[in-house]
Amino acid sequence: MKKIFYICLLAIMSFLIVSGCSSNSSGDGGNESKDSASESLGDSSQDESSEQSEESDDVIELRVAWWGGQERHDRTLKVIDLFEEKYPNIKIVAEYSGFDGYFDKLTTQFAAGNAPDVIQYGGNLNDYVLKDVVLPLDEFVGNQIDISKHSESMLDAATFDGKLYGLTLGTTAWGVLVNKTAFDKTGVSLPSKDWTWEDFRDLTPKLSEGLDGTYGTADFEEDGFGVFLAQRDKFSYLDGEIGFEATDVADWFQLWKDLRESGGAAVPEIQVSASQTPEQSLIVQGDVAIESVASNQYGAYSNATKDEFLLYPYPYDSETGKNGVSLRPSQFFAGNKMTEHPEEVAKFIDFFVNDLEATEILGNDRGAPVNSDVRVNLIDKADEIDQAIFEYIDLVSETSDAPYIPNYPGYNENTQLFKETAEKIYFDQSSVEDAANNYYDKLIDNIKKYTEE
Amino acid sequence: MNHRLSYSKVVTHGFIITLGVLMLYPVLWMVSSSIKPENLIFSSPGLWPKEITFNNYINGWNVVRDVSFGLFFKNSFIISVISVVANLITCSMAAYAFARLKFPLKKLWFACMLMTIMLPAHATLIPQYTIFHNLGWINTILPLTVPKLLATDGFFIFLMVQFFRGIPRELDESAIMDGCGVVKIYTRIIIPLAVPVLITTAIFTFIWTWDDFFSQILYLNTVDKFTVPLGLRLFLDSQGESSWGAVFAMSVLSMLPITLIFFTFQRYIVEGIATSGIKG
Repeated sequence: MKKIFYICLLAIMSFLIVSGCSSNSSGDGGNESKDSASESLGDSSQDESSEQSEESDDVIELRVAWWGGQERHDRTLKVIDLFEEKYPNIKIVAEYSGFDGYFDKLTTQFAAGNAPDVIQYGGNLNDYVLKDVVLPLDEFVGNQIDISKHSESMLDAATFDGKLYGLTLGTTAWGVLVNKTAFDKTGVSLPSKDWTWEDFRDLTPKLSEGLDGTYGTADFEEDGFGVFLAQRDKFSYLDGEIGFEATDVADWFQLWKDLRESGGAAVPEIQVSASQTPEQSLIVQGDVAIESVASNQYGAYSNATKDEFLLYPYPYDSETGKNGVSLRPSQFFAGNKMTEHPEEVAKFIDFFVNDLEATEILGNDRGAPVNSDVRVNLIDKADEIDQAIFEYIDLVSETSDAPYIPNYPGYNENTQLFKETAEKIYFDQSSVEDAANNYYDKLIDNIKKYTEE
Repeated sequence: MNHRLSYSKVVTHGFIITLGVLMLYPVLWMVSSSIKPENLIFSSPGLWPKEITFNNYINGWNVVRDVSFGLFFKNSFIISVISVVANLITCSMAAYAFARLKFPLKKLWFACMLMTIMLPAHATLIPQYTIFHNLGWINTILPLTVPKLLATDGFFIFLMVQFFRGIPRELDESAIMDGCGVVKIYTRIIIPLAVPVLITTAIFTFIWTWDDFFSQILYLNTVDKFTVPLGLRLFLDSQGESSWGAVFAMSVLSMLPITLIFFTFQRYIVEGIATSGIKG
């Protein structure tokens, strides 16, 4: 009897605790945000009045958060110093960390109404816009923020429902990394920069032959497929529409199957061991001589090895004469909707992407600058690797009309689907055509599932 | 017979040593990578470094401008030491009450305490953060240390309760005969007899606090407050360039205190676990 009593008691207690917690969290969070909102209103009006009376002697504090490695921290801190020199009435509190835990912390801070004023986002900016915590920047454009020299596609990338929510800190573009040392070893001459897929087919088997244990090229995988579609004037998914056919998928996989059969591309056993980290990638490990990378990673790949790497555009489609590469945003700076000093936030973000001195310090760390004037200014001063990247970005922004295509809805699941399809073909479990059709059908299902939610 | 016995011993030892080396390999690899030049870490991943450099240590120690890794060590030490001392005192007091004293609804409170162990940390995360934010404690070490002063580590209380229950009550009774009150029994009888479990608690608290990442990154915002685990992550950016050499070098250094503590107190850890609550 006694036992049963305690078990019941335990059950009731646990129920109370759990329900108490949940109501607590939502209640606290809600109150808190309201509190801070009213606080901020009160504060800002006070600030303004005191500023007017004391002629802006008051020092405003802005909290700026970003993630990154050592190099980025050093550079960003220098830019902050510069900013504080120019605007002595604004003090910046830098809150930086590694990538681990960055967004967990941010989400908690938002829930408690304690998030920084300026926040660095990645491709997940849209998630936070949906949560309604990001400051729209439209009213500052033309005043505090100058976007006249920014490329249109990069502004589009931070625009949701017609409002601009952030500025791109750097642009990248898909490119092809070529191991020059390997080419020199085999005596195969380096291709011209407007090479075609036909050249690519000719040259990769020769590389595999001439090199011991190294294959000509790694599979370009899903990223390559996106570029491949753009070369045919198609796209993966934009504004609720799929822009390609199952035959495009089959053509892509057939291209790689042929390359493997000719000996040019890495065998499946090696390809499936590929890692996303530059230091452990196939090309750095010496398994292949050509790999598809994002341009901003050129430095990381080059520094991880003693071989000399070159950055090439994708092989052109000889029929359409396009290389299909588009600019992609790396990270954004965006404001916190709850900030007490939206104008200063706008000033800081503008300074960070448009000021010549500031961008010189930042260099290529977050990708090539979006402001074309800044890029021109940087090309002369950058080191060899950055110069190559800037030139590449310039080449892409001048020659390619491919639009920026955001990720599929349900990104993780669809990426996995592409990988599984590729592996089915690698290991002959399915013909190219069947696998491609299967991929296409499942992709449509997946997208439906995610867009209907 | 004798000969065969030693033969089987050789085989067993050989097997254990091989297994040990295999398990040590990642650690050895980290140590050797920490003295390799950055561009050789992944391109020649063998155990024996071709070139030796201590640049990783110098570069890693001066993480960012104004702040050296020494500061992170200091911060980590302060938090860990406070946590250890606080946990030892308060958890043993709470455990003593549960094991020896009579008070109303004791079983209920005990069940509540056990439930705090089972409650996933994520469920309490945001309310906790909000409370500390309202107290103005964000970006100080208070959220990481003050709760320890209130015996919030249910696991250690439970561990100690089990241990205290094993101490014969006759000792308490004889102490009462000699005129000891509740407090004296705690300080004169229970604590001296509970050294193994106290050491276990101290060691685990230290290691867990030293290795803790999530609650530290949550409550510490600026780099001058950062601890070792946060400092190590400053080098890493999964999407950009990471300074792996510096990470390995500083990881080697940050392992030293824990290794030292573990080897010094190894005997007590085993003893503490064997004699306290954790058994089948």
